[in-house]
Amino acid sequence: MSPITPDDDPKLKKLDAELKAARKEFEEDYNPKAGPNDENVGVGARAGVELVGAVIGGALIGYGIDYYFKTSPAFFLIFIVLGVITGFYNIYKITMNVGTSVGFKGLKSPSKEVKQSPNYNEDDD
Amino acid sequence: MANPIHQFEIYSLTDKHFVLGGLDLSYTNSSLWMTIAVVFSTMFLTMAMRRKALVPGRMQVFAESIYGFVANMIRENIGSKGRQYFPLIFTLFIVVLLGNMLGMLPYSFTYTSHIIVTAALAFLIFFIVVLIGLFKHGFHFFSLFLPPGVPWWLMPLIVPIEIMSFMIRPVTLSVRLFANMIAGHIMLKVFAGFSVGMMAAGGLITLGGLGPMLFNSVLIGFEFLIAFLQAYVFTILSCIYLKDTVELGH
Repeated sequence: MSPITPDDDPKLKKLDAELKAARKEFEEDYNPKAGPNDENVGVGARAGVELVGAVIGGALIGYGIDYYFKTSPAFFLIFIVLGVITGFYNIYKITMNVGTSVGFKGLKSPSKEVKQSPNYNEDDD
Repeated sequence: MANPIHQFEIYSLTDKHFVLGGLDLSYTNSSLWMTIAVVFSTMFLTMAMRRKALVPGRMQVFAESIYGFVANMIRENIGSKGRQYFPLIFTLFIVVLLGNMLGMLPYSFTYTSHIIVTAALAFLIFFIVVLIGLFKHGFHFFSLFLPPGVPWWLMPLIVPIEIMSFMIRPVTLSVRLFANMIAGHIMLKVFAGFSVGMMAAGGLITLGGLGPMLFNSVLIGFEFLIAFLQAYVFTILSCIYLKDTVELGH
């Protein structure tokens, strides 16, 4: 028995057309890529604290060292300056899209490579 | 006007304080809401997955979508080797999410609005990264501080900054969550205070009191977004940090 094709029956033909329309509608509605983009959601929420947190963290570390070795305020000042530099460095890394983790490994991840390739179109997302 | 900071006060629920070795270990309102979060999440996930239907019901879809959400996050940010961290990441996500979300209930307490809670979670991640990283990679773990492709004469500058940005991870991770939660809740309380104050003033100003109230209802919606987003950011950054224990780049 040969498989039934839509041409055999007008009813099937109608069903086939309806199915095609429904499938098209479904594909337009359901775009898995349209959801929150993992790398971009929360980057804004991240950036500000990255700057402030670095200074606070630097101050804490410096204060701790000073407290332990009784060298106040030498390390406190050094680490605050280091914290400011680190904060800006991290902001730079976020804006240049090279990942927020330590080191530049993010640069090597495949998704970033795709984004940096000339064929990648931002609107496709 | 009610004090907007008052809502973050921690107090013992029992009259008699339980002191152990000089530490006050009483059962506080913070502990109560943590307990509620634990009981609620355990009960919800157990109930939702009790039937294990092939065609899932409403609850099961919800539980499965949380699972899928976290599993997907791990797969994308750590890779397939990150599967071993699923229990940790999932627990972390649920703890932070429920802390933020339960805080949106009236009369509740937001335990993620205290830096000691978020700092404890952040330091947990930090020490896991350091210990597992050192255990797995040994001395090679420190190559984390040497970004590839940096010329040698920049090393003395870059390496301290990289070490610094590694050390401040727990600070940024905890401050981000804590600051967002505390700021959001203070803002809600301040606007509610405006509304109450204006309505009590009488005359035309009473009508003006509707302004902050309407704005507050928008802010509450926004606060729900923040509650979810911050839980998401906290978890995704934990994933990014844990990635260093699985594989070192280059």
